[in-house]
Amino acid sequence: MSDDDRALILRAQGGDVEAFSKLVESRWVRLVRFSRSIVGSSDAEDLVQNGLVKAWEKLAGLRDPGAFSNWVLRIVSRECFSHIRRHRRLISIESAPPPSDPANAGIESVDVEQVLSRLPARQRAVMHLTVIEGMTDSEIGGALHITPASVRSHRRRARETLDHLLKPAAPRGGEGYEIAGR
Amino acid sequence: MKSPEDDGLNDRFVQAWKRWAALPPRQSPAEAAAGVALRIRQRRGRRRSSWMLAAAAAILLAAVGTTILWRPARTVPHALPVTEQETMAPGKGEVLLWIDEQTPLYMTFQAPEEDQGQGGRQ
Repeated sequence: MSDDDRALILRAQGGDVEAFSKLVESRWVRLVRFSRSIVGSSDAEDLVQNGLVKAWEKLAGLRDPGAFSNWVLRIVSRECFSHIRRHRRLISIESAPPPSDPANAGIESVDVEQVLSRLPARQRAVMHLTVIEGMTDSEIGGALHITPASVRSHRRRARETLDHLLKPAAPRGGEGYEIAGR
Repeated sequence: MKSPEDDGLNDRFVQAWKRWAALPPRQSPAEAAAGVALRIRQRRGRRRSSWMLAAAAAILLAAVGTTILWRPARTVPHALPVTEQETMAPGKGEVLLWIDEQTPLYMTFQAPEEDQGQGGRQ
């Protein structure tokens, strides 16, 4: 973490809203991407904003300014998890709708959001931090407040589900994928 | 850093996911930061107002309580003994006796011939 960021965090901890909004600005895109992988596009930004307001309220309790980024990530992840619990948006594999047209399920049309929606929320978070952020198990564990062994377990199960969901498409003109479903 | 466990993950799905994840948010970072700052200030304002309201209510409650506690005790009018009140003076042939301080007893004396006379008249 840069000295500038550290200074901003200390100022924000002292009640400086402007300093906090600068911290938000530099982390916004990363947090929205993370949230989008967990809850989908429609609610991601609202939930990140809610999480950031909660982070502001808890900021005085953050002892290590160097842990700020992962700490905010954790707050946003909790916001996303509780949103999913509230709205029961998890679509089980059994109840997932069939793809609209498997013939068109080429690589460009893989509905990432639909595929991710079939994973449990924590698995989505682990997979996002692994695949998109490239974080190590211990970094992910630190961010999500779970052990590295638990990170590996979530990832393994997510991969099993994804392997099941993503099957090569019917041979209708080349490479492609369909989303397995009924 | 890629975990060894991800080596087998469907590469094309991963590429599609990365492209999807890279789509820009609807709100720019500057707009989002301004929105968050606005919400924080609004919450601060609301919190301050609710503190002020609570303080005002506490002061009012304290004032009312103090008034009730320190109000001089109400003076209950002392019941005067009947002897001190106006009592009907005994009439002719009557004797007034006091059973106690508040209980007068009037006794009327009547001559026997008066009684007979009345009876005779009846």
